[in-house]
Amino acid sequence: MSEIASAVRAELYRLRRGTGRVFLLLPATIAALQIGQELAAERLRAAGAEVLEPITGFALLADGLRAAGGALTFALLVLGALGLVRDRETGMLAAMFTSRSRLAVVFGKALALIVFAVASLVLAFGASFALANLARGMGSIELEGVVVVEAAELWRDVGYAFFAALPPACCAAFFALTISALTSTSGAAVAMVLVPVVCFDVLKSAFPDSARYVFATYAPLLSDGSTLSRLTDLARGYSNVSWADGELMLSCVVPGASACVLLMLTALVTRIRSA
Amino acid sequence: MDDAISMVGIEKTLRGHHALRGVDLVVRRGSLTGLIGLNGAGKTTTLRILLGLLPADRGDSTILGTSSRELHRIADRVGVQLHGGGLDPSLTVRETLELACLLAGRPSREVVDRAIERSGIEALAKRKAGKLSAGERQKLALARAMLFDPEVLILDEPLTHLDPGAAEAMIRLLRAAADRGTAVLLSSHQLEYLDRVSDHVLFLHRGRVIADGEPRQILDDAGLDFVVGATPIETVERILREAPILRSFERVSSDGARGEWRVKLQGPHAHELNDRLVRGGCAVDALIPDRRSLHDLFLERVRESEGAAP
Repeated sequence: MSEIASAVRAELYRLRRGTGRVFLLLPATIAALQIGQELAAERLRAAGAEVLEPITGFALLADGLRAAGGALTFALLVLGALGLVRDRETGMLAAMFTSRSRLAVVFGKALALIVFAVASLVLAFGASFALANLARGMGSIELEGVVVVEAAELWRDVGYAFFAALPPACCAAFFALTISALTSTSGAAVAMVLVPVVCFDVLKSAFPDSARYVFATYAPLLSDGSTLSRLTDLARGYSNVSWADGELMLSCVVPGASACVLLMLTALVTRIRSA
Repeated sequence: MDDAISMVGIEKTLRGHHALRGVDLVVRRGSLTGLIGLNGAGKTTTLRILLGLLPADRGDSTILGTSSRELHRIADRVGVQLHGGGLDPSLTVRETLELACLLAGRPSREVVDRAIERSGIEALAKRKAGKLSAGERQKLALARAMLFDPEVLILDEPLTHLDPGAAEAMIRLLRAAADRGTAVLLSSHQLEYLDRVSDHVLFLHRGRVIADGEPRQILDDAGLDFVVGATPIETVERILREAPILRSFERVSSDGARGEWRVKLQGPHAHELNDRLVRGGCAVDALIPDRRSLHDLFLERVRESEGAAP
């Protein structure tokens, strides 16, 4: 355990000191830009005497989180794709294997990506919440003076969406890490990660049934079916049904199980393959 | 047990090519051992197997009594410098050393400060590893390998890319480490440094050990070379052919009746050779020791090995 703990600490140190810190702040920045853009657009429409749809801070928070979720998934895909192969290219991986077991190195990288994902999403949440609260306040959704959705209910949905978005995002990172273990160059790894994931994201509506068992269905992406995407509807009061039966469960179980399989596969490949 | 590193009967085939053929290697505590070979001789493969980065097809290797596959269990007692450095280009020199401390689960500040000072890389501390010259990267990689004053140091081509001054300094550092009790194993093809400071050398060629021992002993075993100048040629060559104290001889020049030969004695028999020539009626005007360097001997052994290869 101490081997894995020191490997995680070392990996987090590298993420903090290297290019990882740019990726860490990217989702929060994207979230802030998304909310800022929405507020600016609203102000322009108001100036043009358009009738505005009344929205609460929850809608802005949900939009910010959704944009941040997409950015986070891409960041994790890129970081995961480079995770092992870049170190193999520089010889760093071999150096690490002489001081820690291969299993500890792989688990260290994987766990560091999870910590990175949580930290990044928390930062994005903080930025989104601060802007949304400042601009609109976090009140209940009312329609013609009648409360349609209570604020407490919306907070619960935000919590569900937030935590249910993490397993698919982390699974995306583990998928990228697996590809990283299998490939020989950084360029090939990034291409082999981004191309299939983006293609699947764009084309998944063509195979709706089978898509339920692919982790990427639940990962926040471009045309995603993630919980964060669903939250944007809930936070505007478009839907009064919070979460369909098993929806949250499925979005955690499928990516969670896939992540375990991918992590084992990565560990196996790393164990077999020369550093 | 004095043996810090032990490799027995290591064989390895890479892509259908016999990279190593029964390599045996022992490095004792407090000794500096040079693994010498041309490019492609199998030096890096030997070290990668020793470090558990590559599995051997046959044979056993241990470091401090621990199997190479379990090296991570004794990682804080073993310092490693791999070919190319194995550095993260996005980290500074100080960060690289701090990362090594984190990975080892040890506190860093004092250890890093001392390593930077000892390696003479204070001026580089804030530079990114990716911006360092090849020689500076070597220094950093060595500083990392020596971070925790390890009991064993394994270094793959640490002298490559270093200017003569830096190479001398590094060799002195390694010699001092060996004198303090560290077992040092380094691969190199720069024999001019190893000749003077190694306690033990191992010549590797095409995956085979072609010589193994203390440098002085290897040179003595190989025989002493002398240049002989004498007349007349026919008599000298007859005596040389019949002398049992000679390993071999070859004429290198001739001028009329006078000739010059490079002779290889089986031991310190120069006086006896002179006596034999004089008693045989030869006029000897030169008998000059032609001490070979380890470098010459290595190349000679390589040539012999090439000749003996099937």
